Amino acid sequence: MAIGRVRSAEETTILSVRGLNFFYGNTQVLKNVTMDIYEGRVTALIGPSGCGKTTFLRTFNRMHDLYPGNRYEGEIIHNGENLLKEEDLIKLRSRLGMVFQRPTPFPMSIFDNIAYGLRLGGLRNRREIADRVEKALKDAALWNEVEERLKHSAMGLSGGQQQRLVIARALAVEPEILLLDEPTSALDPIATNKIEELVVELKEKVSIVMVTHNMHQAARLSDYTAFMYLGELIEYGGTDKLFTQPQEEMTERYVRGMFG
Amino acid sequence: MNTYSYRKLKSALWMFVFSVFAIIGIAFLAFITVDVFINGIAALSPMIFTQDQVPPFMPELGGLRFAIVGHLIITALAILLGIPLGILAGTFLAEYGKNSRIKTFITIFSDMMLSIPSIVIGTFVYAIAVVPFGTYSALAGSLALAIIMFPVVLRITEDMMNLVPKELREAGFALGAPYYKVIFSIVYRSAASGIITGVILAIGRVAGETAPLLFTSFNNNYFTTDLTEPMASLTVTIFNYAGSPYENWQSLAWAGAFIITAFVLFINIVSRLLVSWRYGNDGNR
Ligand SMILES: Nc1ncnc2c1ncn2[C@@H]1O[C@H](COP(=O)(O)OP(=O)(O)OP(=O)(O)O)[C@@H](O)[C@H]1O
Ligand SMILES: [Mg+2]
Repeated sequence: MAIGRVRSAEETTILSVRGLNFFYGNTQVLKNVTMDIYEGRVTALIGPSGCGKTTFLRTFNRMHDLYPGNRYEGEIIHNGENLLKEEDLIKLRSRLGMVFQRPTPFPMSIFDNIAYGLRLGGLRNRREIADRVEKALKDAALWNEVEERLKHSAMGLSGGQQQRLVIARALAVEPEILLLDEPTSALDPIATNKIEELVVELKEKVSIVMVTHNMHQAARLSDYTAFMYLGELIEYGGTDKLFTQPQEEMTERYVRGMFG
Repeated sequence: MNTYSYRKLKSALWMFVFSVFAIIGIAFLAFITVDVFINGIAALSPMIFTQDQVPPFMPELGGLRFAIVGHLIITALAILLGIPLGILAGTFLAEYGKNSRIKTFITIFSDMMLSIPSIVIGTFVYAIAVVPFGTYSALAGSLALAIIMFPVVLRITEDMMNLVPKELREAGFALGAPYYKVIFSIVYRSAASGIITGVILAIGRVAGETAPLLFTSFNNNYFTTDLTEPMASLTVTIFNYAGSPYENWQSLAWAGAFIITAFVLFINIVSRLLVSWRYGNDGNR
């Protein structure tokens, strides 16, 4: 079961979601979501397909602002500021890393992929860029596999390597929070294993919010789990508790569906 | 006769009809190409590239330098004008303007431009860039060719950029990249080989044009690099020489036809190679 459980009384809140509603045009997809996300922990978002997990995750780094007609209500408080009111999206997004379901390597070398965010942030010193690229690749457990071919195209990596590359790219800019949307659903079991190990290691450095369809994965990796259904947060709590003694009947049915 | 052999007969009959027409079509093409190559290569000599026109009654053959250089200048200028504009407009449609009403307007307009015969574009440029200045000019010729290229480049740019997955753009934004950087460093890179192929095809499309040049850059019997003057081009010179009664000019027309055909063929082969490189290489999506 999950590693390093702590009771919420001892936790530091890093993101505080209050009464969050979200609309794609006129369709409301998130309904009055309120929850705290804790620093240095892995928080899993689970729930049936279409319940709004991805939508929720994308509100944190304001991905929805890229498309017209989307609307938020409520608050997501981070360091005393409402992220939903933040004007400087470029700054906001560089503090929250995001990894998608399918790997998204940029069509450039492995090195340049990792350096991309660093250069965006204004880093020019070659030595320092090289050091941080190396560190990020080591943090993402990819260094040994790509050390010899940093100048090669990132497109030549395997799917699992690409996904770790994308994680390394996000880590390079030292975000406070890492958002993972089903990061292993396009990968084989071995690659999945590697990413899972990585997630456990990474929470020393960064708070992680992770959407997953795989409840074993949620149970194994996360400290906290949120169960969503039709845009509502049904139940949220320590992962052990949510999986073994769910308070809501709906959670129980969903969770039991998987334990058989 | 049973239905099976009847169907087989029908199928064979149709196959025969299709093959005959295909062979007729290809035969004509092959005939033209072979003819151009045989006569053109026979007429080819180093002088063609070093000498200019000599009057028909002189003993020397003369050369096509004035027309080749003129053609290169007019085409190069058209490329400089038409391709950046086409790429920028295509980028606008694929990115900034994708939800705007003006997009529909530009798309319809540019699709219309795609199907306008090139001679119409020639007369249009005649009206806006020749009449007001009172002279034919290389610039007017380039403008006409650029207008022909523009919708081709716009369309291919937009299509290729639309093929770039949404997630790749989002990954750029998620790292805090501003929109223009996402376009330049991510979208263009992903779409590069497709856009380049389209650009090369557009160049091939205008490199062999005659009609739009007749009304714009017109012709010149002398070597010139003055863009504000009428300028010779290979295609217009071929048109004039081929119709002339002088044997040396006719032979130069063959050489010119060979040069232009070989050039366009070369461009098409290059773009084919680019396409197969793009789709043949799994690693590159
Ligand atoms: N761009 C959009 N415009 C309109 N509706 C959308 C859009 N994206 C998602 N939706 C709808 O919002 C709801 C939530 O979608 P979301 O992708 O957040 O679900 P999910 O929980 O991530 O599902 P899955 O597990 O299948 O990934 C769904 O009903 C979906 O159809
Ligand atoms: Mg989803």
